[in-house]
This record gives sequence, C-alpha cells and structure tokens, in this order.
Amino acid sequence: MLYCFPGYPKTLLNAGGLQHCVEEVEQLGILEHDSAVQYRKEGVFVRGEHEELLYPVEYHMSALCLRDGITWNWFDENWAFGNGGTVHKTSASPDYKTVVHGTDLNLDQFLTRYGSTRLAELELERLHIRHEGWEKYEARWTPGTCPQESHIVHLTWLITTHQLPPFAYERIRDLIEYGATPKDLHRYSQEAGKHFSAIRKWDGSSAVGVRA
Amino acid sequence: MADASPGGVGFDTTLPASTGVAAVGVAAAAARRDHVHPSAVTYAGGNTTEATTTSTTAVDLITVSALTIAAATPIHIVTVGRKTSGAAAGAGLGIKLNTTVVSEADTVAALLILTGNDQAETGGVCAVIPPRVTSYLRTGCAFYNLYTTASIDSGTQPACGDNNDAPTASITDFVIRGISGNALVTLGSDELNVYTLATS
Repeated sequence: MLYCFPGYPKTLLNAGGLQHCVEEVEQLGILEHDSAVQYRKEGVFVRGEHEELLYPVEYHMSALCLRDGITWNWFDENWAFGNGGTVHKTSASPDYKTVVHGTDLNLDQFLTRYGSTRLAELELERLHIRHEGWEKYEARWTPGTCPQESHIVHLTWLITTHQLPPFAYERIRDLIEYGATPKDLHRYSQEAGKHFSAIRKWDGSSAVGVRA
Repeated sequence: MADASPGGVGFDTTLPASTGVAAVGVAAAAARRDHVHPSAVTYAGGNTTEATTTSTTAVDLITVSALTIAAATPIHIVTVGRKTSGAAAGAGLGIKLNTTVVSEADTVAALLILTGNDQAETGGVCAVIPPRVTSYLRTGCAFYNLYTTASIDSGTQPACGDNNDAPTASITDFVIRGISGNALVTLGSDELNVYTLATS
C-alpha cells in the first residue's frame, strides 16, 4: 500500500533513515522491497521484459497533501513510485515577459508593428506566459492551489506490504509532517548522509534554466 | 476536495490536520511561507534538501516541471547523485522526458552508475540531448565523474534513447529516475539544472 505525505520529513530522516526507523528501530511496518514490484500511477506492475499488471494501486494521501492541492491526480501519467521509501522533489517556475500594456508584445515587437512611439505614451507590464508546460502543470493541482511563483514540492512516500494500523500511520505521519523525535537515536548510523540528510536552503535563484 | 479515483482507499478526514487549517488558495500560500504549518510547497529560503530513495525498481526521483522546450531545441542538464553504504549493490540514475522513459535508471547502464561496492559514493553528471526530430530520437550523451574513497572514475554514458525514442512533442517535464540495487543502500540526487541551448 502506498502512503504519501507532503514535504521533506521534518526529522530530516532521508528515505533510508525513514525505512530504518519504520522497519528496524520503531518496527511500525514492513516496506515492499521485492525488486520485481513497481508501483506506478496506473497500477502495481511486475518489472521485466513482459511487464504485467498485478493489481490496482491502493493509496492513501495525507490530509495535508489535500490541503496543499495535491491529490492523486497531481501525479502524471506513467509516474513511478517504485517500492520501499522515497523522498521526491519537483520544481516549477513560471515564465514572465515584459510587454506593452494591453498587448502581448514586447517593446521590440510593438515598435516593429506600430512604428516609432513616444516612450511617455507606453505603459509596460510583466505578463505571466502561460505556455503549454505551465498549463499542463497547473492542471495537476486542485483548481486554485497551484503556486504562481517559483517553488519546490517535496513529497515523501512509503510503500508497505500491508495496510498500516492506525497507530503506526499516525506515528509515521508525526515523524514526517510534524518532526516528532525518532526513538533510540543511537541506533541510527553515524555515516554522513546515510540516515539523515543535510538541510539546504533555497535562495530562489534561477540562473539560466530551472533548478530543482 | 477528496479524490475519489478508482483504486484509492479514500482519506482519513479524522486527522487533526484536516480541520482547522487555512483554506487553499492565495491566502493559504502566503500563510505557508512562514513555515508554521507543514507543507509540501517550499518557496525561496525554504528547505530544498535532496531527493532520496531505497526503491529497488525505478522511481521518479526529481522532476523539473512546467517547461516548454520545443523539439528542435537542444537541452543541457547537470545533476549529482550519491549512494550510501549498506550492501554490495550499485545504484543508478536515468531520464524520463514527459511520460517517456528514454534512459531507464539501472545499475548496469544508465545516466549515472554508482558501483556495486559496499561504500559511500558520489558522482556528478552533465548530459546533452540534441534536437529530438524524426529519425534522430536516440542521440543524447552524458559525461560523468564518480568519486569513492578508493578511486575516481569518469567516462561517458548514453543519456537519451537506450530504452525508448525521445518524444517529438515539446518537453514539459524533465524527470530524473533513480534505482537502488538493494533496499539497504540509499540513493540520493539533487541540484538538477535544465538548460536550453540557443539554436541561432
């Protein structure tokens, strides 16, 4: 069963750390690790040359995902969830251009079409270019919830062999969404990055392309 | 607001977080910036920590969405990957363009291969994907560097087309796929930058 939570785990446990927590330290559940099993948007498949659909995906989206506008429809066609645990990251940035007010022409295009114009008569504005990629991305969100500026979406999902009992789900939710302190911290590896990831802050800059 | 898609199991509306929170929309987005409430969305100044997985089948690890890159426009990408110790198993990164897996994440041949030694490793890769026009749909190449405590390795890998033809439609989603050869090995990737190259 697939459980999806919003954000990076607030405990800073990475996918390996979260798995270690759930399976070994706090023994909350068992994750699916069969290397033949791949969860996808369209169902659970046997991986290989002759891929076969095993059964439909059973999933549970956290209530906070829904609050952010992320439902099952947010995941695109042929989206792969794999198995085990994953902390996923998506970035998106709207594109803007400066246009002459009331048109979609930039200054150069405006002058080409209308000839010399007194600068004092022109009013410029910043226009969000709603190109194909943006329209497609925005449509994945619940209407009205897609952020209209550069942003990053972190999602954490776990794939378990069986449905979790309520106490286990709530404990995992608290670890991921609310930063509850993991038990028995001495049982986590001291190897840098093995169970905990170093936090990085995003300065919002985008050089030439788009950054994730 | 609940999603009633077939196959779903519904949502637990008894969760405390499902009540008493700000409504969605602009006001909620503004409220989220102070990071008082847990949220999936991060703005400038927020957490942008790496993507990681223990999946032993390919998974969508990092995505750059909301792009519109015409088929005739070359693409240049840069990203980094790492794996932890835990088992004698490799890990790898691959590429999906829109919904098409052009270079599947694999532990043998993929965009970036981390070796099967039981050790922590770090690698970096840059790739060029030429225009994706009819009859030229499997043309990408990648250059990588791989660092371990024992050695440094570098070389080339296919970056586009070892599994499927690249789509000829505009690229709207650029996805890095990941796979770990063993669930005890964590694969990480970060700092994916996607650039388009001028054509004239």
